[in-house]
Amino acid sequence: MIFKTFFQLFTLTLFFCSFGFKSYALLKIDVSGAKSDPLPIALSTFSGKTEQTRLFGKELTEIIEKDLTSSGLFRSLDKASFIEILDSVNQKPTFENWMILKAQALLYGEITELPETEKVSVSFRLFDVFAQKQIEGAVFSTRKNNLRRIAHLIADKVYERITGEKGYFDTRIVYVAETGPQKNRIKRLALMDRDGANLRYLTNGNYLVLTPRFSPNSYQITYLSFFRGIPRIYLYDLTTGEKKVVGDFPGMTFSPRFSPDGQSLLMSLSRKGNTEIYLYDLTTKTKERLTRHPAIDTSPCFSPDGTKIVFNSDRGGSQQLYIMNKDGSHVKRLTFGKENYATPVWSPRGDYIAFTKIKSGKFYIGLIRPNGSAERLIANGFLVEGPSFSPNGRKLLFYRSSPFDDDGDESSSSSKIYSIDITGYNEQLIATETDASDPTWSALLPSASAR
Amino acid sequence: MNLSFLYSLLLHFSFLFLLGIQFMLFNSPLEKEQKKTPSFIVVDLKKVKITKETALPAPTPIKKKKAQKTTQKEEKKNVVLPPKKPKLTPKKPPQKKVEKPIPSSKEAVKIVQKNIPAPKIKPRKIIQKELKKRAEIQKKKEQKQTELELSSLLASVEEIKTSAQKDKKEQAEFQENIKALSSPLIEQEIGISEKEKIALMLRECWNLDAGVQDIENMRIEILVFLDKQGNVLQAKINDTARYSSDKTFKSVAESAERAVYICNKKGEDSPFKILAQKYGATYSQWRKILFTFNPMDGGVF
Repeated sequence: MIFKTFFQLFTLTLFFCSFGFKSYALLKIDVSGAKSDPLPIALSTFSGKTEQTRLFGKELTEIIEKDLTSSGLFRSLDKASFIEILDSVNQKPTFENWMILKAQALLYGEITELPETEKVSVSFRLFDVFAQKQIEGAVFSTRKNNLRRIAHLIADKVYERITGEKGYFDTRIVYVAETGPQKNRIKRLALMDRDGANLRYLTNGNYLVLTPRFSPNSYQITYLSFFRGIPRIYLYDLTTGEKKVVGDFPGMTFSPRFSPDGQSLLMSLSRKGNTEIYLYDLTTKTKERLTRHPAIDTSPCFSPDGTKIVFNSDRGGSQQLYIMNKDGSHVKRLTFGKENYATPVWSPRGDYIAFTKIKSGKFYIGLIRPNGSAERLIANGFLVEGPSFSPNGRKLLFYRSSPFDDDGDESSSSSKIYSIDITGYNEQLIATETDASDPTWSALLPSASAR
Repeated sequence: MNLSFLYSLLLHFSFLFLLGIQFMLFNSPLEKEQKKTPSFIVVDLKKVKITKETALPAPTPIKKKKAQKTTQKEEKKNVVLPPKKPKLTPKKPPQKKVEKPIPSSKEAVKIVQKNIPAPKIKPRKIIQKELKKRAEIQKKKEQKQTELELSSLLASVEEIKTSAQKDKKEQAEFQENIKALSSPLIEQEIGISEKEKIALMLRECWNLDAGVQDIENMRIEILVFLDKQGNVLQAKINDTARYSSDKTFKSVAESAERAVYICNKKGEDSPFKILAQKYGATYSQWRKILFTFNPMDGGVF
């Protein structure tokens, strides 16, 4: 009897289970595609207990706002529409008040003066409004005169937490500042923060300078200078202000660029009408020839992992891009268009190579995958040149020169720096005091960076 | 869905197979022979000598009373039904009942947990009715079987045949009922057009940075739990391993998770309300939904 009852129960259980599989099957829905609008973010002005800290808070919030909105990925909500006032960093926000404004992220913070020091403490919290959770929070303490930097650091934190990629706001740009008439142009090295603040000139303009490039740690700059009419590569140490010639070569050296480890320089050396690519070790002061071809090989740039080098060469009959191993072996052509390609630069995240393309008398800035696929052009102009990636590989700097007007008036021509997202959107003018060319982006600044 | 169908089919067949075995085993002549013998054997306790060697605990006075009562009853029964097989070793059901250990509270909880009824679905109610009917039929069968004991063998064979035919008919009816009950479930499945509508609405809520690295390899699975009104109770990112190791994936996954919450906050325009409005009766089907967010298939616009 017991066996029979058990058997019946078992059979019945099985029977109901057979229905269970049908009725409880997991419902699956595929969502394909998304929109790509700037993320609405509420930036509540950083609070403070004193009049001075409140002023600091206002300034700090404005810098963060400019940083984030300039990326094209964030839209700052109008502060006048805010329902809730957050007076302290420890105040918990009422999320419903921010959901009404359709804010997807909320940033607020507080500045407090540290007693008996010249320092201040800046704390902030970042919330995902709809998920109703804090997703980032940090405290910085710094000197009062370093608040701009703290603002950039906070903006980087927000950017990284929302996009998943490192920010690029706490960086600098070195470029060639141009003044004077076209025939007697004065070109100086200029250094500024990414947002144009803290501009300073590194050279006095007595000698022409070109193609400045940052070292990976952002402490040094290598560039080309025509000292006494001879083009040579120089190193500028930002911590000491010292300048020195790189090597002593029996020819013209140009197109310098650091290796990813900062221990050596790639450069072009022109001798007896032939230009080849060399690797110069900054420690041992020895050079290694990487290309051996009667054609012009120039503009070398390392891949971020340091295993490959992209360069341009006219060995195929026209100026094209090529990739080779770091020792010069296995040279492979990357581009096959009828147009000319120049100034290649490898993205720090490794997924793209940016270049300048010359097509039917017009210049373009373009991107191509390292395998030669997915070429696309993202900017154009009478003269656009010199692409340089942001440290996170999301943005490109380049310069654009306009032609003289019909009367040949020199003052009508200008050269300006622009930034553009690699998607081809959000082109922005980077404001400079003078005309500017050859911009290069630094890596994220080290915490104890020299000013 | 195909896999679920296969499971269902397999289990249905297993059920039928076991049902067949059951009828073969428990309705066999051998079983009937067994049924002829009473389910318990009455033993005159006066004839049984209880020695010290049995080592049974001494019964409590109350138990004694119970035992006395049972013996009195048994004595009465003895008059009507004398023991057929007195040689068999006697069993003492009342004493056994006393000795049975009381289940611990944990075990009791376990049993309760197992017996939690499944969410009430109309078809199942009908099934339960059918089962009740079957139980009644079983009882009737048993009664019939006892009656059969008194009838001749020929008559019993004939009756067995008729009962077997009835069983077959009942079984066929039961199977038909099952088919009839299972068909509404299929009909009430969430339609493709509704799924597409929900997907499109979620796409509107999903804001993604088009320049994210490796975007072509991003597929985000979000498990969404809904209440009966179509409100999001929880949204969970499935791939927790990649979520904690890959910052870019984390960002994209969070944007998809955010899309669920943003859509949920649209009130009556929420895509999840469609389910509550149209498929309220089959909540079990959509109380948990697996959304796969794929930015590249539809493009980032």
